[in-house]
Amino acid sequence: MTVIEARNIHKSYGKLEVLKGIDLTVEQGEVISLLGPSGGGKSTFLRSLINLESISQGSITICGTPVVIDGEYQHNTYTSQAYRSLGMVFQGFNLFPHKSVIENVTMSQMIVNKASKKEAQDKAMSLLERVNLSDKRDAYPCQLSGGQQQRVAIARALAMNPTAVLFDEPTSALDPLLTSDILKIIRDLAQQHLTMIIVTHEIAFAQNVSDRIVFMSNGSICEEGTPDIIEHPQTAELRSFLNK
Amino acid sequence: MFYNVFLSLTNGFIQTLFIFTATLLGAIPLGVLICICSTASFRPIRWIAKAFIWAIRGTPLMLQMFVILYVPGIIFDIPMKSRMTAVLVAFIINYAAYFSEIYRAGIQSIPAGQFEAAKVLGMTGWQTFWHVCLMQIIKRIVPPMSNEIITLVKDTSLARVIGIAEVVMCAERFTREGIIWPLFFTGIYYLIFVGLLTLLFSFIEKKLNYYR
Repeated sequence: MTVIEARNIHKSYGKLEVLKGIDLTVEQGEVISLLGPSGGGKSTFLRSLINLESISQGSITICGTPVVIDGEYQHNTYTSQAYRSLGMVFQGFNLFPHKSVIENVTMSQMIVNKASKKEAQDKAMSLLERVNLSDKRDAYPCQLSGGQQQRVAIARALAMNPTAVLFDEPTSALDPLLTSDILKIIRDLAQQHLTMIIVTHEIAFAQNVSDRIVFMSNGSICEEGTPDIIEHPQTAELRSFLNK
Repeated sequence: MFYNVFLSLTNGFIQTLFIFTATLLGAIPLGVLICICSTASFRPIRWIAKAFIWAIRGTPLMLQMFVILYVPGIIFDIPMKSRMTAVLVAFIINYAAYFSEIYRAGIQSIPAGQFEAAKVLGMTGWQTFWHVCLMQIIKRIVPPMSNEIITLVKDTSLARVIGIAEVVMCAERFTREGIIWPLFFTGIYYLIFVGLLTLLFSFIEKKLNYYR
């Protein structure tokens, strides 16, 4: 099954064109890493897939539901269900500071999916165990380290049973020691064949975890393929990016 | 003598408390309405709200009381029925304008990431406001609201200029008999009441301190 199909995505801020016709198809179970220099449009592209940025041209289909057709956003009565099949993990975690760890994970299950408190809590506890944080269930985000906060954010995203999870530089706000914790969790998720798109600067990790690597620079896809492209870059842009 | 003064001042202070309470009850919700208008995406409404806030913050409360007391009678030939009504209308409008700006600051201080997280989790705008934003806004506006509310306690003394017998006016009556100390004694009433409010606000702030 195709989870995400993006065709000819364009986006401009005034005269500045930040996405210049991106095509990407993500199949179920695929792990895709988006690499590239900062300012190359990776995050903008990822965010436009989940409707945090609006695109000016192009089409996006999520789990068979067209959400944007030739730049026309479809009405949210048709699209909200489709968007709900995507989860997202942010660079800055964006946990709800006034809610405890477990409440962060149960809240949207109860509000959006109308789960009972018991169901939501059972699920939250099993997810918190998975990210190794069950002992912090009653802590508040401000009492956690960055790495722990990001693990809660991953549990929060998984609690909604997403078909695919988008990671927007999940380790960029963390120091190297905490980074490896997060990468390990993402690697575990990859082994369980969760569909993921990961914007990252961790090249070795991307090479190791991904089925496909997409290299973006200057608003377009320069090169994409199996992780082998890291060893054997074809374009000058990717070569110079890897040499840095 | 002291008993007479005490009785008179306490009666006056009951008027003071009435103005204070009624103003809060009216201005806290009216401020919400003004805040919604001043952040509306429909521009004419936003401009009207901004102009209104400018006019209210740009003129003295005392002048606003006179305007509300006299203008309905002069222009529309419907004289203000009671002086207290004029006072309350002026106070409520005035404080609502200030409160609305505090609310706006509170709302706009919520980081964009909170809205984004709520959106990708599938929450609607209203759910986001209710479950994600409200508590965070309340925590942020408690200190500036405390400030305004404490100012309100003392602003009530302006009501005497249009003849409301609040605590200062009651004390002033004694000066005509050559007794001045009651005027200074009113300070005790204000200090005690503001002291109690201060304790209440610091209690609320502590209660909300469970997270950063």
